[in-house]
Amino acid sequence: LKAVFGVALGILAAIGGFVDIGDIVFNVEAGATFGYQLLWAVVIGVGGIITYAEMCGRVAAASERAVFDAVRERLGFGVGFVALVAGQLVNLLTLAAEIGGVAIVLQLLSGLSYRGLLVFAVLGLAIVLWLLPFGWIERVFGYMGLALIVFAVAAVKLHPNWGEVAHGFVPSTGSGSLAVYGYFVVGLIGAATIPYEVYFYSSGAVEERWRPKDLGMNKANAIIGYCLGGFLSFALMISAGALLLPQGISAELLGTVALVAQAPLGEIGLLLALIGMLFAISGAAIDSGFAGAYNVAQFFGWEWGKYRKHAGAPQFTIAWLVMLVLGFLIVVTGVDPILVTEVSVIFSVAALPLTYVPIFLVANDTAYMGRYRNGRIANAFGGFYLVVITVIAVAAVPLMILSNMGQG
Amino acid sequence: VALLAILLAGCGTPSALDKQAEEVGSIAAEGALLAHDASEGDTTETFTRVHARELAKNVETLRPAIRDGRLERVARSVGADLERLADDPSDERGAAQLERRLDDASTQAEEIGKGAS
Repeated sequence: LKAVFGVALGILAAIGGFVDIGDIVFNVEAGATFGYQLLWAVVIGVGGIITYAEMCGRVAAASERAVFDAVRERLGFGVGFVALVAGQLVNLLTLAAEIGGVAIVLQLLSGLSYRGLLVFAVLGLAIVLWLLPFGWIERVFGYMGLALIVFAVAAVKLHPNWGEVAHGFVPSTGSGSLAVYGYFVVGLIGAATIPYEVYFYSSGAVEERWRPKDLGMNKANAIIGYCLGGFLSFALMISAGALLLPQGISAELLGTVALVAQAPLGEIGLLLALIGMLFAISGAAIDSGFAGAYNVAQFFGWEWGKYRKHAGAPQFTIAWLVMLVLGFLIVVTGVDPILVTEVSVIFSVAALPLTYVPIFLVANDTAYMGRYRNGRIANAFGGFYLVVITVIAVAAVPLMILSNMGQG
Repeated sequence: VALLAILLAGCGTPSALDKQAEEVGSIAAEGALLAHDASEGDTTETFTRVHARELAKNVETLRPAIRDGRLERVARSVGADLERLADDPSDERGAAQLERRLDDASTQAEEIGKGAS
């Protein structure tokens, strides 16, 4: 019973923790621009994160190594260092966007000044990271992020055309500008498969001392948790498609996202949406900040892990503090967090192969994995997604330029 | 590299009239939706004030680039209405009036956009 309870808690945390500012922005913008036509792209993205999260969770359980341990060993110092720099830049942009997002949501709740709230947000995140143990961080933010389920209720209340919704799960070339459509396809897949999620997932597995006996829990967390997390993405896109598209409203502000829940559900919908966004984005800020510290510590062979306490892993502690400060310095310049979000997602897509190829290679390496190496199904899915991420990695930046960042 | 890509992507204010009209219409329609919820008491004063102010800021950023006189007038009135909503978000009757004005502005912007394309 305890094991079932543990799996259920992990799944709940994965649902609430799946959605971050990138998912919120891209799903709502896609819904406002193309209605339900891009739901299939979310399915592709969720399939990708399930495949690779399961793989790197299995690598962590079987070899007790997280992603960048494997990257360094498998790719060598030179190529590994390129992967590290690319990964860190994307992590930093993501963290900056999440910190800005937290401040915007706090402003929509409190009415206080954005810059003051940026300081409050970054100090709050630092205190949480300093004081709370890993399991608490993961679960508190995951559970509170579940308030985003309000968008599923909003989607139903907005009475979308369910036939059109069902049609959206079938890949199509879409209507309107092909470049804009392609930009959103890349953005939606990129937001779902953003690398910090697998860095954090695999390092978390090492933090929680997963062993081969935990592989069932790994599979359940990855498959059920991310599938249900994808359900929140569907809800965001469907509700935006039902409310914003018919009225010609483009979604350029986080306040517009909250309005999508407020319009059909009133004040309670607004408050649940803002609370869900606050915890989902804060949780993602923690994940991306930690992911940056995990990567650098694993690559250079420092002691790392929240379980070691601050004195036991001083370089790791300094690394996440530096990440927070740098993220803060980016957004405090006044750059629009939504713009930073879009850029971070698109550039993370360009860097995806540097993260996923080493995981795939290590998961197939008998010396690392023994009898837990990839089976045929994991290789079929893993291979398919390597092709997908290679194609979108090549297309990402040209599509961003050609589509004028989705503006047409 | 990211900054260069943003510059290459040409983000910022659109220069074509139909795109500008689309943007003004979008802001006006969103303002109308916000004003509607304020008039029904279905929101918080803080949210209405902050979000209306952000929408007003967006339309003010767009205005200097607008060369069409009709669209410029519509944009100016949308900005003023959104500022009024932000100044007194608890005035439900006033919000209902603003909702109608913003709805009209959205329709006008749409017509200007159609004429331009």
